Amino acid sequence: MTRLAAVAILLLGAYFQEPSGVTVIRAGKIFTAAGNTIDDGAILVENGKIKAVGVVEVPAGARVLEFPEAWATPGLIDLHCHIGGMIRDINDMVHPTNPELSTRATIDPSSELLKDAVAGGVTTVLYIPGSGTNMSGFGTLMHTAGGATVDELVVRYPGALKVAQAWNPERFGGDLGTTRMGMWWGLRKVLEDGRRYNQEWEAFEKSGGGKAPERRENLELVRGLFQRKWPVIIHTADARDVMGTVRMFHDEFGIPCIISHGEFGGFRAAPEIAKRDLPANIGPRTYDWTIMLYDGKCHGIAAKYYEAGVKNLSLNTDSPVVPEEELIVQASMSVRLGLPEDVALRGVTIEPAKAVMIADRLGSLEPGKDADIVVWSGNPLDVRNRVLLTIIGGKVVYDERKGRRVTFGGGW
Amino acid sequence: MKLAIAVVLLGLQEPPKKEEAKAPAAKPPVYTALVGGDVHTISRGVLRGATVLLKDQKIHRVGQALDLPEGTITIDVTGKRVLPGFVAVQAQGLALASGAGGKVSDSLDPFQEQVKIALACGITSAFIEMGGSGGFFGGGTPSAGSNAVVKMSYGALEGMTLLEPAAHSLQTWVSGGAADRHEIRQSFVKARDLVERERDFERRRAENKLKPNEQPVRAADPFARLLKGELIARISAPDADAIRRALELVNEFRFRCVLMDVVEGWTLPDEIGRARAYVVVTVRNKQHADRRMARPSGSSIEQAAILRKAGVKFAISPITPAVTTGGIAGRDLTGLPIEAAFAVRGGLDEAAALEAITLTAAEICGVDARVGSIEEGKDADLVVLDGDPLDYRTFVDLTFVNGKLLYEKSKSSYFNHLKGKGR
Repeated sequence: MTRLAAVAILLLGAYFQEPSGVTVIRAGKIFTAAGNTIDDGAILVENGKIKAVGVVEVPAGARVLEFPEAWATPGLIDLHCHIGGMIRDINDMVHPTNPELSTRATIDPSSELLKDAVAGGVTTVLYIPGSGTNMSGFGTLMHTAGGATVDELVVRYPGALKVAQAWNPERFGGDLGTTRMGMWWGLRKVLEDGRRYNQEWEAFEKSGGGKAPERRENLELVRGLFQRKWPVIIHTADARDVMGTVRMFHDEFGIPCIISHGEFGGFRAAPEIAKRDLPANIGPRTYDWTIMLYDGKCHGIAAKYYEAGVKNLSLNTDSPVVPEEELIVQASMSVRLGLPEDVALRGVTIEPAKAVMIADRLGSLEPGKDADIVVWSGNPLDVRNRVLLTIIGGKVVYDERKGRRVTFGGGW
Repeated sequence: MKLAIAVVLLGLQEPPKKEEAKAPAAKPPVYTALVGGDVHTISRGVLRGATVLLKDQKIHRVGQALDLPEGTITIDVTGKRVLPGFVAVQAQGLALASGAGGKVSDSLDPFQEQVKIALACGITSAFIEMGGSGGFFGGGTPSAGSNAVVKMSYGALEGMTLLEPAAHSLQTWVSGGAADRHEIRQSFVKARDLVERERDFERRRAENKLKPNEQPVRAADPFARLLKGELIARISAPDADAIRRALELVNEFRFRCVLMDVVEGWTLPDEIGRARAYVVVTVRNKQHADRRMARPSGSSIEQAAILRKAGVKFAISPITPAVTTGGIAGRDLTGLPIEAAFAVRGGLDEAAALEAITLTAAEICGVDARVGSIEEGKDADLVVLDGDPLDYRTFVDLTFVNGKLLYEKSKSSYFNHLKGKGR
């Protein structure tokens, strides 16, 4: 008995080992998010990276995980997440614009809510500040597990700038920013400063000499927007404000931007988003029915953007508004309301990766990409199915067989 | 009259009567048949390709090869699923007119838009209460206000109230102080005495042994009615301590009790089962384990499955126990079967998941003699679904209340532009 236990411990030890060696995951269906779905295929993982997908020769000594009935998908990605730290940490509401702030300072690697995320197959989140101010700071693109420290979890810092230009940041204290007029003015001011700052530095770097411009910490990360190193994600809703967002961030300043939420009839501006090929990131609401729209219909929001021709379409939870582990349910609900299934699955994998400019590493099951993989008991869109295994960077971070996460979730 | 009240109170169902020649002025009955669907009776399994024959407001016959009376209106539902209408054990604000107060049945608005939306989502009966809290992030605490079980009989006030009051809140037993608990116990002790005296009176009356001019004894206050099984108590008991405290009272006075908002029921399934308490589960009502506790704690997605194994009867209620149109899908009463599907994710079998939003929910509401399953003689409250009831893509095609077709997807603006499944 003791010997058996010892063997079991050894096996478990091997199972949860660091991402070295070779692992082969076999699944009944593999949704690669790279344009195809493979029946009865395998994924070859080596040193935390995907080596091959499809028909795979099992190298000698490789660990083989068999899931003949299951589905494998890329790890899910949520671009609108507030649960990387403590909920009370997300709104620092001193100024209307706060480009000097970032969520990196607030990440809590031991957060229970992150543990729930992996139980729901979510492996990467853009952990952003709240919408209490117009420009609430920079978000951090991070893994939900697989590291004990902030540095180990961060995928890219900064992930994106968070802007909220309507439907929350209205500062009803009577100062500037109570109306769209003040909010737009405040946002423009920071962007103009950032653009000028970038131009000054570019000129200096090109000239190869002369006096360096004064370094301004609060504009360093804003500069990255103009260098197209990371995008701005904008909390917006209602057709007027979605359109205002498009005009300002894309047409006027030309920085990479993600239209987030896009609810309350915002889809009426979807053709304009499609025309400019901008990313839309829908949620936590998945339908528009009685707010700002009065046609008596329950409109699936993502379906509306899709029908208007928006290609880069992703879904979010706005966790904790919808719990992080229910990102896949947001996809299910979008399908219920008219979105094609493959578009919905892409919307929680490769499309958000593209929108946040990390698709070279994450978002699909393709050779060379990070081995962020989720194994599901069946079609992930069916809410009766569940996650069996979550892998980040080749490392198993959640395994149902090892002990189902009985506390599936948590409060504030 | 008294007999009628007794019938209602005891929850007995009136046997279907044969047409009587006495009433020549009566309109001839209207027969409607839903033909060819897979009928989930809930109480007697699934009948494939069966017919449900309605006679006026009631379910008349259910079976695979029924002879239909002449003039029967037939509706072909081949390939569809026929289920009893869903029953919501908690529905905040539903069917209540604005500024509602006093009795529920005096405050109903049969034309409320939410009632129509409830029908579009398959809900035909709901437990309504005045006051009551809860909302976006889950749960709802039973209020001390009046309550009733109400039908979604859109457009018809008559017969809208199924049962009022439907429950008695004993919330202060768990959330109040020592004085509250003392008062509740005293009320039960007094009521127990009163019920005994009432029984004694009735027995002596039956034996003709009453004293001259002896005044009858009436045990009619809520506590007496709880003891007589005429009323069900509701107590919100999320954690193990609250559950144990509630069960203590149940075990002492042996009354029917519904534990609401139960989160840690999975840690005490046998205790709940022994007390024969009912449970209302919100499958996704999450709570992390309290690591300071030397016992299992927090929520479990497997709660419903664990309770089922222990023989506990439970209903499923969504995170937001209301009909909402705010945009978050699958978390309120408009997606009640989706919450049930999550219980399946946690290991519950599918038939049990459907029972938890139909028959057991009706039992918890005290109206299972009338609704909750497809049985001859029961009210014709039915839904026709375009697919597997627990599939997230399934929509309601038709909803009947009291035999009346009150919702047709194809004629409603809500979901008709969505193709539905299959598709």
